[in-house]
Amino acid sequence: MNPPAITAPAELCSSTARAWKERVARDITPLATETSVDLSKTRFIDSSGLGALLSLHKILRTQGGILKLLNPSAAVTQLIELTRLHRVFEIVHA
Amino acid sequence: MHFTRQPSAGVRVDFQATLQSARQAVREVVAWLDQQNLASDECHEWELVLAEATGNAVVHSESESPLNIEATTTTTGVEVRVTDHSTGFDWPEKTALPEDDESEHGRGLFIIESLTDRASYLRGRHENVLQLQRGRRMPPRPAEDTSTTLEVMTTELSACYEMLANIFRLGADAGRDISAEALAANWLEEFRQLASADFLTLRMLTPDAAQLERIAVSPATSFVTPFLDVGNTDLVESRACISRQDQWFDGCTVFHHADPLSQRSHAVSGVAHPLESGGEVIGVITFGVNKAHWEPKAAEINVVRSLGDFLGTLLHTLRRRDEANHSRLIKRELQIAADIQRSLLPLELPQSTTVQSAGHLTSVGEVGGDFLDGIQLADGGRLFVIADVMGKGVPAALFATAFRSNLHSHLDLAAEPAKLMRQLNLSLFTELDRSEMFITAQLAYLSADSLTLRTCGAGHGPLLMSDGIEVAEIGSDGPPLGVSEGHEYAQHEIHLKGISHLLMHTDGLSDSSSSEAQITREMLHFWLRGTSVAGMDAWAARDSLRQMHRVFHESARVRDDATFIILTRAHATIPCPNPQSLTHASR
Repeated sequence: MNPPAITAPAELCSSTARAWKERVARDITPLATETSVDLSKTRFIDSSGLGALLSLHKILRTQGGILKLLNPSAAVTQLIELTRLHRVFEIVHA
Repeated sequence: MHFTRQPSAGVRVDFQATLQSARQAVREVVAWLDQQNLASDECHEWELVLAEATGNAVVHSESESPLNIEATTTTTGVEVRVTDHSTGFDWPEKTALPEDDESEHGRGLFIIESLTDRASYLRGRHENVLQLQRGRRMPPRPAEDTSTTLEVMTTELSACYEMLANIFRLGADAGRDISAEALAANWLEEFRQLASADFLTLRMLTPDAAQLERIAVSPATSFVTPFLDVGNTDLVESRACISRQDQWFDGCTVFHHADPLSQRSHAVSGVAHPLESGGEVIGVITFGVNKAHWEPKAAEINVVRSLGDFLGTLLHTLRRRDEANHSRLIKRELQIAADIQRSLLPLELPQSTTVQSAGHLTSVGEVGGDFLDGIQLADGGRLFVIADVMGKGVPAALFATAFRSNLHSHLDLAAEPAKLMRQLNLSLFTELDRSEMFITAQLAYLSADSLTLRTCGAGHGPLLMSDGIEVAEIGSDGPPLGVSEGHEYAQHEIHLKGISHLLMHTDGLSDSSSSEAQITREMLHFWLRGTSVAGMDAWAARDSLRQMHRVFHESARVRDDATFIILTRAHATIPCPNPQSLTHASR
């Protein structure tokens, strides 16, 4: 069974990304096949925020899992597409 | 932090060299831009650009000196300057995304350049200035705002509805009596249009998971290699299967020479997406365009991923259903063949006051090629027959049926087994020869007074007989039926005075590929002589030989049909309390 989605903060940027990433990496359920980050409440994300998501993606992959991004806003989706990270992340709009 | 509103449509915010202060400064500037009637998405993009610019400035800052952002607007554009007092860095001539898609750093400058019309970095001795400019869009009117929002919502709802409608239609199609391949072919064509792709290929894993089998392609006229080795990760589709991750390719991708994508006549770009069901990879769907570069929208990718996953799961289920149906069909056919074979056997073998007969037939699997018969003839004599059709399964059972029909059609020749054998060979030769099959057989006619035995063999093992002192073999001289058309078979006539036990058997009784555990000819001789000495009746002798065969063949782990008939004389005057003369066992 997959753990519940991790909620990302309203602003996932250079001033918040590092602390958030470290907290989430600590709390990730070992051996979960699928972990989701709920981005529905995330209004703003920058390259540091993307870096934090990539870091989690890589951590999960080493454990055999995958990271899904749930319900990113149009602006966040636009940034993901601009940086071509939709090739890396699985984006789910529920 | 120091915030200064400048009278000439400008603002300046000073801030300390910390990420928190920089963030707050950006918020202040963006709030001001919002007041200048910039569209909300413009404000958001400026927020992103400034976050990247100030973040960089803070990271490179080595002194306590404050940094600042200055912003001005005109009727046509916005200009922002970010000033720091660090040693600065070299601004690249051309910014680009990191080569490694998964790199955690290196996107900031690319974002800044992508979202501005002009970005210039002036590096001084004690001060660096990043100057950013961008044309201003017309502020949207409220009515247009609502209209645009409604339009976006309608488009999204429409896409969701279309996706759901397609999933329902796909589910309904799968419920019809349609093969997995036909379903895939129909739907791949639909996917191609939905994804605005030029080509699609669907592959499913073979049952042994060693290969990716081409199930359908779109356009249907495309030629695509039918099988790919899953272990060859040089191939894009195999790599998607193994890694369970999307594999992107474009005009810069160097394809392995065996990769089907390399066989296209022009540059292609696209993605190979692994399909999963129940946590297992079941196949790969690849879609692409005939262009060196392709930037599909996330929504387009989601459509193909979602529908592809759904189609893959459906196909997986359909294929399992087809395999189960096929297996059931084969089993049913074999059951019918086995029923036919059983129906060919006599219910009982003929008995008399002076000669008892008992037989046994063991079939390995559902259907074997062995046959036996015992027929009470009109002249008072009896005909015993044992035969072995080459091979097993339905073809062997069909030839056994034909053999029996011909045998019963020519019982007028039963007293002369050689003539009967010749007739059987003539009747069956054409069909056996065409099918490259043959039948070995032995016919034994016992006269009405039970004193004379006439035998004829066609490629069969010898008939054994014993008087309790020794065992004699009556040879089987002729070729099997179906080998030599018109062959004149030899006949042996034996006077049975003193003979107590006779054994007719197929090869399966004594042949075995294992030299360590087999019933040899010598063992059969020894057994028959002992049976004769013990005065064993036909049923007891039959059960004894069955037991010996079972023990030897189980220890040798060899499984073959085994059929035999035992005739006993003199000692057979005592009737068996349960005279079941014929037994049949299946393994």
